[in-house]
Amino acid sequence: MLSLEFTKMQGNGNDFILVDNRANRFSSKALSRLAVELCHRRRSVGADGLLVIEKSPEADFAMRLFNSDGSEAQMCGNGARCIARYACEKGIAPRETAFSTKAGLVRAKVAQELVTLDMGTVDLGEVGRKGTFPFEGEEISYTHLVAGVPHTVIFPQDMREKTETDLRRLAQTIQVDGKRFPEGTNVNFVTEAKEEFLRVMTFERGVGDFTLSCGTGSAASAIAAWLEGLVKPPVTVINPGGTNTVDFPDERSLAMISVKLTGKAEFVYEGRILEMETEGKDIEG
Amino acid sequence: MKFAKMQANGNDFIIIDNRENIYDYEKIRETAVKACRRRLSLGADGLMTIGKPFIPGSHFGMRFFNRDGSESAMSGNGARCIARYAFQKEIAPRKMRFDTIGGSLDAFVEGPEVTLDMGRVDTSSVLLDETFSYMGETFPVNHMELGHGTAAAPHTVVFLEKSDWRPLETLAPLARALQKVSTRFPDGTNVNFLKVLGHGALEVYTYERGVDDFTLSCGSGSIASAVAAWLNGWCDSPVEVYNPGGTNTILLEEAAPSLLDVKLQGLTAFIAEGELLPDGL
Repeated sequence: MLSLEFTKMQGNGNDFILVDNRANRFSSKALSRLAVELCHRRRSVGADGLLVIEKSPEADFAMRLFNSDGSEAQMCGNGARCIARYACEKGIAPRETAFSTKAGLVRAKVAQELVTLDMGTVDLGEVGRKGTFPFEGEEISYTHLVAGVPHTVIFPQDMREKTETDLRRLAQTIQVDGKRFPEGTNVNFVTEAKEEFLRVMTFERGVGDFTLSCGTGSAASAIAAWLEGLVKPPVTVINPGGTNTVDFPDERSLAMISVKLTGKAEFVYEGRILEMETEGKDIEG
Repeated sequence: MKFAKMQANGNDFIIIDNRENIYDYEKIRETAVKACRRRLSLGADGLMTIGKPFIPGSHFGMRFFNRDGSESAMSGNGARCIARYAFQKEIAPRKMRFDTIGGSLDAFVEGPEVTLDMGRVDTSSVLLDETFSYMGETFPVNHMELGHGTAAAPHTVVFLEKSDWRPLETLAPLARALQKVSTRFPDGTNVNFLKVLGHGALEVYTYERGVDDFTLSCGSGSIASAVAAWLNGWCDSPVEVYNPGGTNTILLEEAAPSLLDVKLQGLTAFIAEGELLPDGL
């Protein structure tokens, strides 16, 4: 019978089971199976993914993330914040830490429950891509930019009288437009833009639906709104699952700006798996 | 706050040992609402506490809180989980009696399997040979009431052909129509769609009155279906009842003419034990 200690954490409504695998107890195959088993809601612990902390030769630690279907993800902002806080509070890493992920080195700064992630740089030259998109007899204006991954941002004036179902249909149409967006795109709807905050809903291309919160989508929306003159950094971005703060230098003359994203990472509980009723016996190793 | 998480037939529960009365009623109610949130906290269908017995001679008393903070007498899946918990933690022996706000319950634990004594059904009050017509189709139906006093719940069993492959969504309007026209049950009824697979196996989908939808598994719906099939001579005892969330075994025994002793048996699983941290509340 397998016994396993874990920590359950969440960031902006994305929840994770965190397992310390620095002693290499589990192989990649075992971790993938463990993710499928444990992420099942109701039948097991239930989570969006399994976050694994491992040793790294070039950084404070290595982060790995397995989705609930057992596949391994490259990187996830909410997950990165959770693992950074965990590593810091468990004495695995200092408050200012650098850790390796499948998408490269990530830098983070932990201040209690708030974690700031260094999101790298955004090329403002690329942001020039404004355009319009035909949708059901209307021309929808958008801004397209790459913040780690491609993002399309749409502002309130182009969403008037549209329901969530309309917006979902619009996002699905934009996403498959290979001519405008050959690499695909996530779609961000800024539903409210005030001087102090933005309210944003992100349609994630990998998920095929709106999610509770998307870190890179928050960053892309904040930069696009800043270029429109709607906000000044630091920008508070409210997602349905929680709030992100996006910070960058307020200088339009720069070709590249470095972006930082701050949000909460919460410890929900410390747990111990008591029995694994299916296939548990051959998971280890 | 220490807890255990368990599940039975896809219903998951948080269990808190409150035998020392550390937490008062309000604190537990509030914890149920907060801790049952999926993603943001522990996530569960309900929270149960184990406390001192309400009646002398019982091994413990349980309370059941739904995720909205309301209190229920019990649920068949929840009661099985708490019985196993009590046995494993040496709070009660294998053969135990515990109290709920709806009355006392006898249970027997054997490994992960728990048998609950669900009391007696007066079969003379079951309405057999009824029919219900919907959209040009006529279905044989039985009506009955299970449980007593405040825990009494109306159940309607709709017999479907074994070869009836229509998807569940198409049965929901039928269930709602049945709830509305039923003059026998002014407060609505739980609707169980039953396919008799053989003398030892039934397939049941329950549309629960309080939930207003099909649920993964309903213990009393499984009982009502087994009683109806048994009275019509279509199954024996014990009979396995397949729900989407798992399998219940129903044991029926004639105690006297038109009196049936009913037992509900099924598996339970310990998921995890842990300690809830302040961020989760």
